[in-house]
Amino acid sequence: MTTARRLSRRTVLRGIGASLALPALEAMQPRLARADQPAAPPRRMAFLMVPNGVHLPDWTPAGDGYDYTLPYILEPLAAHQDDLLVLSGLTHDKGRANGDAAGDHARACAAFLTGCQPRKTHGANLQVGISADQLAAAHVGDATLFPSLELGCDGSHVSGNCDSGYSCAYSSCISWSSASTPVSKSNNPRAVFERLFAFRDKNGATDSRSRLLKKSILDSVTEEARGLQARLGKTDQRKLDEYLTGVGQIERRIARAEQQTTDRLTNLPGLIKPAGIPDNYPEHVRLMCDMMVLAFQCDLTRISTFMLANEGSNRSYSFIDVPDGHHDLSHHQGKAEKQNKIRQINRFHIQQLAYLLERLSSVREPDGSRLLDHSMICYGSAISDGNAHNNENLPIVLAGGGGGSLRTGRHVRYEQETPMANLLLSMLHRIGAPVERLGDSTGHLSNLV
Amino acid sequence: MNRMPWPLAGLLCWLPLDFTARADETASVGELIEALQSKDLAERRNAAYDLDQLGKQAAPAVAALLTALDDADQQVWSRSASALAGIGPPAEPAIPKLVAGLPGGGQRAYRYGYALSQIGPAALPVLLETLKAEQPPARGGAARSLGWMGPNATSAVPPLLELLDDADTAVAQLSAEALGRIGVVPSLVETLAHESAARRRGAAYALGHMATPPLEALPPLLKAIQDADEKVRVAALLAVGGFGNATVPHLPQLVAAVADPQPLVRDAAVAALTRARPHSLPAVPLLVPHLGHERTEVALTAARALGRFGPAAKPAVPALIAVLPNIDPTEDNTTLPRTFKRIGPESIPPLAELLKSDNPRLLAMAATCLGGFGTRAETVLPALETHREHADPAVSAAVQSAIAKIGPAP
Repeated sequence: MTTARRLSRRTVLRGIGASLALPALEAMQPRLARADQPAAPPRRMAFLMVPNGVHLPDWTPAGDGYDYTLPYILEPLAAHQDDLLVLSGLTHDKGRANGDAAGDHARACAAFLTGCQPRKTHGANLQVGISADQLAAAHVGDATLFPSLELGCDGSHVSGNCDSGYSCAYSSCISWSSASTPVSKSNNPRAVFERLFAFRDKNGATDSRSRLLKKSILDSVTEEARGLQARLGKTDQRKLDEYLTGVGQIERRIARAEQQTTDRLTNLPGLIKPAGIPDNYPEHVRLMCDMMVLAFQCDLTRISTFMLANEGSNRSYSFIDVPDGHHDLSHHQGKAEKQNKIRQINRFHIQQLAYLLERLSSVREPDGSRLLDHSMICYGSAISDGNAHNNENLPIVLAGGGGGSLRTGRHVRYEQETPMANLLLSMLHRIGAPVERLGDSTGHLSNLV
Repeated sequence: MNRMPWPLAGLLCWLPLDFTARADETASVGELIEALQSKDLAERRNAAYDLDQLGKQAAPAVAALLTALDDADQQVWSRSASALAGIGPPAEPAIPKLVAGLPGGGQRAYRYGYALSQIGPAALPVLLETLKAEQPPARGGAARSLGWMGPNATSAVPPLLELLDDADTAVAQLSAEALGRIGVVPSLVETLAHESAARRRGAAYALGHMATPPLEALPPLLKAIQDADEKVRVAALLAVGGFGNATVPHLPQLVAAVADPQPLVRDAAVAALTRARPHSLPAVPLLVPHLGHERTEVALTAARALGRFGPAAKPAVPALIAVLPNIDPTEDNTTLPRTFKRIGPESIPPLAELLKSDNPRLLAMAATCLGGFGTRAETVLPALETHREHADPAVSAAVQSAIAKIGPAP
């Protein structure tokens, strides 16, 4: 028989070159809170951005309120319809040209989480605004090892002209720690994994011995894990076992994706792909989602962003029989064939959101609730229609219960020109960042609760 | 076991890429005023941006900002309007120009209206006057702006109540939203008894959208659930749903609305019960009798409401099963499957029992409901397989669809 003992919330499993944070366990609950009222789990917040807008006729639900019918693109979210708020009518005025002519993609992307008009430049004099995630990180980031986690599937380019005179920083970064400082995202699953779980000495320096020894992080901590299991109650034992299995699976998938990519590149000598970046896009997206969930689950961070592709991306989606470039297709000029392909891409992206929500649902907090219940996952595009390049009526989904602060299961329509920044401001308050203003916000978004 | 090294937590963000910020960060308000009048567009934009960042400290720049509202460049005038909003009451001289921008609608009207609301009471007289304007966007813009003022705009309540009757539905809606933000409860309660249905509806909407539900409004709202006008009933139901725990004694009235002759009202009843969760859980046994209602649409509405309670509606499963034979799957094959799915897998065994039936319609509905559970219903695959080639094409189609959703045969 095992005797459960109390653990610190910051307990980690330590091995050679590895330091594995743990999920929230019952044994980590404060002594007084353990009996029948566990401490409330923390709230988490993530922003997922997809490029090039969406095909709105297949995105916007016909009905309002509860019991709306999910349109074609949103159908993959059926299992989570009760966890969603589909928000229509929101506008990013600062994504519009407003006198700056071409460059819609970069401009909209820069405005997505800042609500600010970016200065049209491809030099060093960047200027936009602090993004919502970084404002949140500034307020609540010190509660976790990592103030925030910035993920993507494409690289971040911080110089050069990417869009009609706009810096590549604007179209490849949605996180800004100051008005002039883009926060580069990581698109390398291995790097993210090791960042999350590498051992750090007291000075914060990482130890790469595990990698040098070609030893998996999980193998490194096996001995300590065994010792910990013996000290836990049955529920925690099961939870830890599930967690370690999950971590091991992710580590193996990263290795497999790396190997597959290497194999393919060997057969394509002209192609240069950075080491560690999977060329299997669906797997790449899901690995990033899994690591976001792991980071939330272990309270390594409470804030994350994820660009499924850089704004204006011309990525091919051959794996869903859409070999054309995404951006090229988005300029469909009303042609049904192109529109159909666009909606296939839009639906594929939503399937990845569904995957993330499923993962967040599968993780239980010590009080028995789902991780999703305490999360706010804002998914959307900074452009509404890729052909028109307009910035009103943006396609936005907000998923998760926000710790009971969101009344989900509805489609809500807002008056045209309602700033998207009002949603960001409302999310910031819910995460514990009581900022008065974000970009062009005019107050909190109504009708979220 | 070790504690995570902690001290450098704040430094572990992804590599921040630092760029040189603006050269004129320390410019004085005087310099910014001068720059705002520059011939150089970039200088004017930067000045407007910086003044906007200064908030109330930009007050000496009101006159220059007022001029900048006429700037041809959208970024200059938009930032200038934002800066005036940040300055607040000292920006009073900007009121006439801001009000003049309301009729145009769009982003300019939105930003100007917001600036007016932040200037506050000094803008009230002219906004009240604008509520009588000929152009609907001007009336709507003034209403929106007054709403943003909140309790400072109580003097606007009588004219806003009149605008609930406005021929332009957008203006009426903006007025209702404004009234909800201003929140003068007695006037709204009184309006619930007004002869105009549009006013009664707007008042109910406003009462349902106040920051804190006003308890004194609950009895008249409950009365409004019986209103002769269906849109008033809808607005009243949705409002009552927001009262949480206070709705508990009145759940029978909410439940009764699921039998309303109008579909919009029935939908609103479901929404109200949903919004009032978890306080509305005692409605579960009250909804069960409606499952046997002679009108199928009422039974299905009750089922929909029960589904909203999730596993807490488990006691209703036998009654829901009893509804199945009454439902024609060609008319509605989504409501009951969704309801059972929301209630949870405890519905699976009784649904599986129905697969022994000879009634084709029942078989098809049971299969559809079971398919909704996906892999969680894998134990019923053998029973479903026995109907795969059923003589009735509707049954075989439903069964094959269910098998596909549940997964491969064991």
